[in-house]
Amino acid sequence: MSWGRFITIVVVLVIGGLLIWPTYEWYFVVPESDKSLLSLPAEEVSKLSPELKKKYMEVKQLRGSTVLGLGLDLRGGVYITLEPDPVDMTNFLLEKYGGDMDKVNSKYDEELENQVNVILEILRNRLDQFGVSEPVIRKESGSKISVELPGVSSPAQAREAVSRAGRLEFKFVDDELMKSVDRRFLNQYGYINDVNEFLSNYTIPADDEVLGYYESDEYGVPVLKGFIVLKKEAVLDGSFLSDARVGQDQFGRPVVEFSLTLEGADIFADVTKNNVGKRLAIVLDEKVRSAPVIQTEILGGKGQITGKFSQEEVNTLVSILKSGALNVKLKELEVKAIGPSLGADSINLGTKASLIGILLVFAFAIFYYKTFGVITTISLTFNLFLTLAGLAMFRATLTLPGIAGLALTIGMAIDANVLQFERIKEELRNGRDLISAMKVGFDKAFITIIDTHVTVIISSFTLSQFGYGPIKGFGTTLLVGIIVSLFTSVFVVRFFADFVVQKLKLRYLPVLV
Amino acid sequence: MYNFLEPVRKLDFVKYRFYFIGFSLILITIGFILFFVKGGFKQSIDFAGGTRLEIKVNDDKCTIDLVREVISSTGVTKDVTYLGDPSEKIFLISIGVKENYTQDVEKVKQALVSKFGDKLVFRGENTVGPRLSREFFKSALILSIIVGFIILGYIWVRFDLIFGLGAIASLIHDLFIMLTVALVFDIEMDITIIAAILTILGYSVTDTVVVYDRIRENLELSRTTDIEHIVNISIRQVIVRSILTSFTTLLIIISFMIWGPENLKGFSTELLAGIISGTYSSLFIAAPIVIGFEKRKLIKKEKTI
Repeated sequence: MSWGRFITIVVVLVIGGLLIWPTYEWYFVVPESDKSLLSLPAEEVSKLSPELKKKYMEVKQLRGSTVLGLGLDLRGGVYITLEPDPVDMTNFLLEKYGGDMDKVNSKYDEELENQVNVILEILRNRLDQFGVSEPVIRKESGSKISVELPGVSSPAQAREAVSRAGRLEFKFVDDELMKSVDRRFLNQYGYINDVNEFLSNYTIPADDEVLGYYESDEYGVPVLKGFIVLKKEAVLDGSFLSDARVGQDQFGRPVVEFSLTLEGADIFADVTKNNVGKRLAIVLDEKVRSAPVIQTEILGGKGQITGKFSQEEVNTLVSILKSGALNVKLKELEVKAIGPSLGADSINLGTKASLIGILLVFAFAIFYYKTFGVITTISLTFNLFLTLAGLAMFRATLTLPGIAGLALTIGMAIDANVLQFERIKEELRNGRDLISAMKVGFDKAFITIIDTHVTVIISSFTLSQFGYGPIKGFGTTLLVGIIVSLFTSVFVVRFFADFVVQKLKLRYLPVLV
Repeated sequence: MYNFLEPVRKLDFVKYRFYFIGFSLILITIGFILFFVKGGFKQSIDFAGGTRLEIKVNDDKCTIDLVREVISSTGVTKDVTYLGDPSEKIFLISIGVKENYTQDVEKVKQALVSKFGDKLVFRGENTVGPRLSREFFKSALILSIIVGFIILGYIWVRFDLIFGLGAIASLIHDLFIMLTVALVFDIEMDITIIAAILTILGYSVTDTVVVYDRIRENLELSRTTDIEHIVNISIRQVIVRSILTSFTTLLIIISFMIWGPENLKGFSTELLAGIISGTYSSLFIAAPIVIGFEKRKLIKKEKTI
């Protein structure tokens, strides 16, 4: 028994405590009303009072830290998996390539990928309109897209929000007004900082509107950069666009190229001719995503958007422009709706079963191994605590099978101790005294413990890679729990066992039998 | 204190090994017979595709027949069962995949709402399209095979190929036993069952590894080449540990079967079967299998010397 081992255990527990603290705060301290702030659209947030805004930032920061999330099966919500309808997709391509089936076949995969990116962009652009605090939109294998909407209980409502087509419009920026705005109302990007403040100082014409300007962050999620004043009337809408793609200018920099339908080309030529030097905003679902300046009159229905773009920005913009030309329907592959009562039942019954099971294991350990059994229960409690901390660290999501996995880990983690204690008993039967039996027993059992852990780690790691919500949760919990148990069952147990036997000299206490 | 597990240490496992293997073969044969009699596994919508609605009717007078009647009036083919205790009035309605299944589901929902009104609670809804269900099945199969091979490789490296094959034999045994149990209790095959099977593959092999570790240690330590004796001794040395560990894991699983949520019952039952089978197969299948192989190896060695 050494101070080094004691300090290691304390340090690990303290780190665990720090990791789990935000989770505790989130579920037991922060009031529900504060959490609901997170479901507000970005534009609503910018209109909040200063105190509420501060609260919003605090809650957002807390949620962004190591908080253990709850899966849809526990908190309730709707989960939808979609893909572009294959029949629709083929028809769309046949039309595009003038009925040339060979061409359609050769281009199919590429076009499908494009469609998926467009849909992802539309859905991400719409994130805050779902009215839930943590919508998740993910690209799955193949051409599948999954959408998780926690807290929504009606699948019909979710379907409506997800499957609605995006609305793409082109509107003029009211440049005259924007130029006259005092610098102190503008942020570093040149957009209006605070709508309330702005509107109380300026009156905008009746045919103008103030919309949010968004740029995608590194994860592709649109972030509000400020506000901009536009002319309400749309000069063109998405239906006049026929295609958009990534191109290069003469210096090899990425640009966005787009083409218009015949009718669109005429309108665009007219519009650009009379408005050179003005900014034309690209608006998707009421969000301004770009506002390029018109350089010259655009004839022939083909144009370029240039600027200091990164490759990602160009890709995003192409997807947005393509959304105007999107006419492939989405097909639902899977819809899962978990009502709040089912979710609550799952949490309650899952926790109850886990607790009873774990207490039974504890009782058995103490009954069978006496003092060492007590040590085992202490180490198993550490295990439970550190597993939760580990899950929080990886920002994992706790699902119902995950709760089962957590409890199962306790049942399995005790295996290491059984291996050790049985080995020690064996050495005692061979005539060794307690201290040397413990030394030999712990050492000999160690190799076996490593072997048994490796195989469970293999299978739980595989499960955690299974791209399917609840099972993934189960695999991850098992994986983290088993790794943690290497520390608790081997290191912690041995420390306490040595402490009890060598320091406290509890020779007369029933140690193992 | 008298140790109640002491008597199991005295058993001669190797002598009766063919009885143990025979017993397992009988169980597995029953599984095969059931498979053909029942015409395969009861498939959940995860693999067959379709919609599952979970509803609760807050009316004591509501019966399963009434729910069936209401749905039948829409002309949609369905399957209605109680979920858990019938007095809870929670029903599972399964609707198979057909041409217009989304409309079918809406029809059923409307019929239920117009009959039960406020007393009806939609607890959950799960729809899996036919394309996705095929994909689930494929990836589940691939995952199981990958896990099998990784485990084989690991044991091959840590011990040798013969031990690896013995471990795989006991894993296949566990798989068949779990499938037999699924057939006996009409457990619906869904994603959670696949998770249970994969978990057991990892878990059961730990028991095998523990026995093998001992066999190897004893092979190195003892001067006797009597492999039967060594295996017997090794099993006796680890059997208490195997029983205890299974027992603690079973305590958790049984709690889930008794007190846990309804939709984990199939999962728990399969885990229960898997844990028992895993422990049994490690001791009575995996360990004796190496006897046959090792014997041959030893004879070979003697000849060359």
